[in-house]
Amino acid sequence: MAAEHIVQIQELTRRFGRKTALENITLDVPQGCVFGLVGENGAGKTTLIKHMLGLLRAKSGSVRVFGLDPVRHPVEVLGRIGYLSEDRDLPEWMRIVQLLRYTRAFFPSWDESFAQELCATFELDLHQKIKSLSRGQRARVGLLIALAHRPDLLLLDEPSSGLDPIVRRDILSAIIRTVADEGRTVIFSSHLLEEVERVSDQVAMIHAGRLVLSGGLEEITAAHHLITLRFEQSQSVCPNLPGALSCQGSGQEWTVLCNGRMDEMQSAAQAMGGRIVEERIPTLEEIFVGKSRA
Amino acid sequence: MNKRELNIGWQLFLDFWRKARIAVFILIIAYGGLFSLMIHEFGPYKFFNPRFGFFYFLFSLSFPCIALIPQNTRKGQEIAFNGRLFQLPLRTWKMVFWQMISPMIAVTFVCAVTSLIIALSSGSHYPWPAQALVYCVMIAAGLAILWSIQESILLRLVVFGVIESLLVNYLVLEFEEQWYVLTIGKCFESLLLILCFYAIAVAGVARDRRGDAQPWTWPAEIWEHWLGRSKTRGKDLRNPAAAQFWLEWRRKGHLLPAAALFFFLTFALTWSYFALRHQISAHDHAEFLSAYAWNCFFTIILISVPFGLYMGQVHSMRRSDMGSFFSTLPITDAQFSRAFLKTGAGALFIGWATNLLLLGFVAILFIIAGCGYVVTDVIQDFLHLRKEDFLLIKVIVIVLIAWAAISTSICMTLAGRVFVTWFPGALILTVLFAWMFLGIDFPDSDLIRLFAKSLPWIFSISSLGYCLYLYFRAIYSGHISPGWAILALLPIFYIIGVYYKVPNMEVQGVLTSRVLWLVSLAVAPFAAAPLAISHNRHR
Repeated sequence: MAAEHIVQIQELTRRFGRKTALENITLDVPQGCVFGLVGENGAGKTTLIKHMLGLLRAKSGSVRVFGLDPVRHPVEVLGRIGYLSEDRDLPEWMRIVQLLRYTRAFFPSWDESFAQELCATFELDLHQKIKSLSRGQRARVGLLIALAHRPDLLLLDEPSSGLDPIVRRDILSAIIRTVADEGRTVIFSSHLLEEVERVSDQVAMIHAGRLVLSGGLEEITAAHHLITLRFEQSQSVCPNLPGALSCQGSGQEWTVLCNGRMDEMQSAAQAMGGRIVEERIPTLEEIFVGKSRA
Repeated sequence: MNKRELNIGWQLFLDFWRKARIAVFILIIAYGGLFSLMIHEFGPYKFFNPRFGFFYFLFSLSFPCIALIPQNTRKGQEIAFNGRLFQLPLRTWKMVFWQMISPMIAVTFVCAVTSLIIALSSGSHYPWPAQALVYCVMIAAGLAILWSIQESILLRLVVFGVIESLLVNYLVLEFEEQWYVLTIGKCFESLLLILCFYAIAVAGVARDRRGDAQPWTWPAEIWEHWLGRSKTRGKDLRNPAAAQFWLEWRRKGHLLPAAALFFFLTFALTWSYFALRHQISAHDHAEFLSAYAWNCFFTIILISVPFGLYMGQVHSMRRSDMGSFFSTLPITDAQFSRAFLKTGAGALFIGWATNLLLLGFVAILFIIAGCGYVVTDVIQDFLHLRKEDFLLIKVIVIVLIAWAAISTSICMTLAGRVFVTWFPGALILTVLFAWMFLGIDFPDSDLIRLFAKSLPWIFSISSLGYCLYLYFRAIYSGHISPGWAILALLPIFYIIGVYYKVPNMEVQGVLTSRVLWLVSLAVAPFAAAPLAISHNRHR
């Protein structure tokens, strides 16, 4: 139901010529969470976000945001979304003050005092022209516009790419601040997995246009194990554990990333003549690499 | 220059040729083909007549384009000298020399080949060396302006208008003497002008290379200040539609008035030049004023297509798509598109109003100079037209044509796909060219006569069908309500009604088909614009 899920995507497939950008994606984003969308460059993250914004029509499958089709209802949907694009696209010829005046007209929920507060926090000179801003300042202006109308859904496409640590901190605190407002949701795409791990509740992983993993961050990490196995005798091939995603090592010692129950893996290891000498929870990056190579 | 520098220069020339060869090829075809056709139609005497001066001026303006595109690059929002060349181990004056000489060689080549085509097709002697020299001066002037004036598009336009007009007046309109007899004196004058422009260009590029600030920023600052003085400054924009219109008007609203001013400058300078050089009679003055009065309105129609193509750009010249910022604003496609059409209509209105003001200004100048009778003569001519009941119809037709041209061009660019923009344009040009060739080569053919007779109906019925289809699509997509669609289509229904009511079918039929065609084209953009935006925004 729309009240529970801000975004509902059903069997979405998108092709550009012969290239399949998204294939059979089904995804629900619950309300009030920070949703991290991860995947390598060209995996289809931006294409998926563009479908959520209605910039791409769903040729196959359906996309609902706030229970509405974003292509047919742009005002109702986009009026509740704050969006920061990857390319920080802003009208170059404007001054920041003009941009704020222009953008304010589109959002009835625009909070002027919050906008002023953000201006001060981001140390922006209102009379500066957009074309003269640095990359970091541009990101801040984009973020200001995305946040100032207190959107129900904040959509950030690669918000930190190419930015210095101070701007990245600003962006992360904006995410946290947005979520602190009850009921608001953040979806952000990134390939900086530590960042995603730091702030996300839910994660979806896209690889070559396919959704390879989706769920709560804690559930995902709890379901994966990084196991180090030791064998009495040297092994020529990687041990075949149930749910193995990736494997590294040689001879008597192997490290395997597995998805499954720990007791099943222990018995499988014993059956192969090995024993588990170390087991730890993998990082999101390790899971991502394992899933991508699997 | 040593061997290494010559080698770099040669590479720069080859680089120019790689980028410009298609433009050169198109120019040869256009010039050779068009000029041959015109000589064929009008005869060599009429064609090489000073009265075609303005026509030459328009063509001459297209020549700097071969220099403009390959020899420049985009610096922020502006066209400037290609900054990547600054890393070459070459002194600035040598670099500017190579960048300037390459298009000049290309233009000379175009003129020579054009001359050959004309000679082969019509047997006329086309005086290309003098013409090539004129174009070389114009290229030098154009590049010098671009490379020395930055940060102010308006100042660039004004300087470009003044200098190129003066050059055309001085060099092109004197072609009775210069075209056929290229004297050493004329060559020396032209080379001196090229040298002057070269020196200005070197100074501008050297400043750019050093990274010094631009000295010509004050006009842009004054313009900004003037724009900021509007009554709505600082006030909240009422709603998304008002905000979008504010943005579009601010970016593009001044274009047509600026063009009117540019046209006025050109005409005023041309006339001043003639008045200074030749004996001018009262009749000439009256002819000038009358020609200006009509041409300033027709020029708006002429420039409506390129200006419409520019005005339909949502993002910038660099991108045909809307970009993520504009496409994620919470505004309906219909509201968004209306801002563009309103800007187009407003720009047309202001453009004509500027023309009227300038016309009034010229009339006052005539009266002050003691030539008030010329103004009276021209007004009487207009009143005479009124008596014949043609003035009102002509005004309505001019307004409709200009609106149809600008709004259709806006819609073509709004679609945000290159093929949607250029394909219809190429199709129209091909049809026109085909028509010209067919009309010239087979004037007595029955087939052609039948085609000519049915052509207005083919155009009117196809444009009516296209218009109705657009309205149907717009209603179906929810961009326009059925009530508004019926209201917009009322003039078309009215014209069809008139056609069935009027007894003299043969005369009225031709007229009705043309009016129907024009009105369909004028009405269609109200439905086409939101569909185009939707096509661009939701891909």
